[in-house]
Amino acid sequence: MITQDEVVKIAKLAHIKLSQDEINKFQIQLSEILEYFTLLKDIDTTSVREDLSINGLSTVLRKDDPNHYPLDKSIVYANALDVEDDYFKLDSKVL
Amino acid sequence: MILELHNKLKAGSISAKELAEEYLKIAEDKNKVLNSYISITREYALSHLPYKIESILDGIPACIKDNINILSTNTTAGSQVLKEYISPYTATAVSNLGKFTLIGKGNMDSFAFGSTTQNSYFGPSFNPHNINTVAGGSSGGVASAVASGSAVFGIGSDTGGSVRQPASFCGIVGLKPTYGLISRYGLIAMGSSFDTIGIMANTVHDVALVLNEACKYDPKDSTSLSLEKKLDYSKFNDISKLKVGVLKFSDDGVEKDVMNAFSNSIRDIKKFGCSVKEITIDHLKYVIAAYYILVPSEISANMARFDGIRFGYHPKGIKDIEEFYLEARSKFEDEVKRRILIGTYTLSSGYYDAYYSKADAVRRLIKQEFDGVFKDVDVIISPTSPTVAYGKDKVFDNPLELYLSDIFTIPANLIGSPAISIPNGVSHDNLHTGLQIMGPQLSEINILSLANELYKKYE
Repeated sequence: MITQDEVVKIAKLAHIKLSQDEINKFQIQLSEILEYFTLLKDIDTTSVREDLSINGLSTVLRKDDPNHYPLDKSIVYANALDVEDDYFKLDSKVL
Repeated sequence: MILELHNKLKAGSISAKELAEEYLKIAEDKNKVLNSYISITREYALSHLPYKIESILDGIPACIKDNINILSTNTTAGSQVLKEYISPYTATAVSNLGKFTLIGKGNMDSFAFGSTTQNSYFGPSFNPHNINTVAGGSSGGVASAVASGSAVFGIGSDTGGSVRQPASFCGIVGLKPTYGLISRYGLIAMGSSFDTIGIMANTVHDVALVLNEACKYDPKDSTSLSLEKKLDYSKFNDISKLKVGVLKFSDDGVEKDVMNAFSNSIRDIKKFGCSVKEITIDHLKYVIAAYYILVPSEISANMARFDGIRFGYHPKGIKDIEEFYLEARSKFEDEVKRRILIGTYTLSSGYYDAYYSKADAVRRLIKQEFDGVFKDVDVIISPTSPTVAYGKDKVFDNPLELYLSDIFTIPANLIGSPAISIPNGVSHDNLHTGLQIMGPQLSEINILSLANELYKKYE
C-alpha cells in the first residue's frame, strides 16, 4: 500500500491538485494497480534483445527549420490565454 | 456501401448536398438519444461540399473522433479542458480522405482514456442496438454513429483497443492498422509509441476502401512508414491457404455468448479450407501489466503540455505560477488524473527501473514471442472483448477491473501489429460479439481478406 504522503508527492510532481477525498480514493486505487504491476517482477528479461525495435524504425530526424510546417498564427493564438507581439502572455503579477 | 454511394454520386442520381442533408438529419435526430457526437458540423459539411466527385470518398458522410484535428473546427478530445479548443490545422489522416462530408466529431472518453465513453466530459454514448448499454470506448461515439446509420464510415484512434472494442460492442467492423501505416500528425497524443488511427465502417470492403486513402507516407509524423509499393487493400486474397492460429486463453471472465460465437467462427474458418491450430502466448498474462505501465508513462509526458497558457483551461486571477498550473490542470477528468499519477509514479526516480524499464523489456519479450508464432501461422484469432456491451449503469469500483477487459486487444498495440474486429454473433440479450483477427506488421491484406470472407457469411 502506498502512503497518502506518496500520493501527495506524486501529485505535486505532476502538478495535479487533489482534494482529501481524491487522495483517499487514489491511495487505494493506485495501490491496487501498482500491486498488480508486481506480476512482472519475476519475468526473466535477460534474453531480451536490447536493439529490438517494436516498430522497426530507427531514429528519424528532420531538418531543424522553425518554418517547417507553419500554422496559421491567428488560430493558434485564438486558443491562448493572452498574446502580445507573437508571444504568449501571462499576467505580469504571476511569478 | 461506399462504392454504391460513390457510383450514385458520380452518376448524379443523388447529389453530395442531398446525401449530406440526409445524414445530418439522421445524426441530429439520433444524437438526442445516442449522444454519438460532441458536435454535429452541419454548417461545415454544407460549406465544404465537393464541386465534382473525383476520389472514392468525395461526398461520403463520415464521423471523425474528436481527438483528431480538423482546421477551424472545435476539437475537444472529450475533455473539459479542450471544450473550446479550435484546431489550428488538419490531421494528415483526414486530409488524405479527400472531400468526404464531415457529419460531426465523435464522442469519446476524455483524451481516449477508457473503454466505455463514460469518461467523456460530454456524457457516454449509447449503443444503438440497446440504449441501456454503452457503445464501448474510447471511440464509442464513432462506433455508435456508424452503427446507427448517421455516418457511412468513421475515423477513430486505437491505443489499446479503442477502435476494435466499440466496433465489437456496436456490431460494426473496426480496423487498427500497423503502427505507422496511417500518419498520427494531428491526432491528440495519448501513448505515442502505441497510438494508431483506425477505421470503422459497416463492411470490411468499406474499411479497406478508406484505408486505401488514409495511408500515405507523411514526413510530418516521424514514425510514418514509407512503403515501397502501394497496395490496393480492397483486392482481397484467396484465403484457403491461410494458416490460422487460435489463441489459447483462459475462459475465466469470458462470457458464454462470446465463447459460443468464437467456437462458431473457428468452425467457419475451417470450412474455408484454412489450416487451423491452437497457439499459446506464454506472456499473455503479462500484457495488461506491461501496457498499463508503459502507456500511463507516455501519457504523463504527453499531458505535461497542458499548462493553461497556450491552450486549454485558462485560470483567472491567480498570482502564483504553481497555483496557476494546479488550477489549469484541476479540470482533468478522474481517469486522466489517475493515469497521469500512475505514469508519474512509474517514471519517477527510484521506480523507473522497476516499472518502466521492466515493462519495456517485457514488451520486447512479448514482441519476440509473437514474432516466433507468426513464423508458424499467418493470423491469430481471438474474441475482441471478453464481454458484450456493458449496461449503462454498470459501475467499475476498481479501474483495474476495466483494464483487464483489454486483454485481447492490447497485444496488437504492444507489438505494433494490425488487427481487425468483425461482428460474429449476437448474444441472448441481442448484443453483438466480436471476432478479432490479428497478423504480423503490414499483413493488413491477409486479415482484411479473412475478415471479408467471414463478414460475407455473417452478413
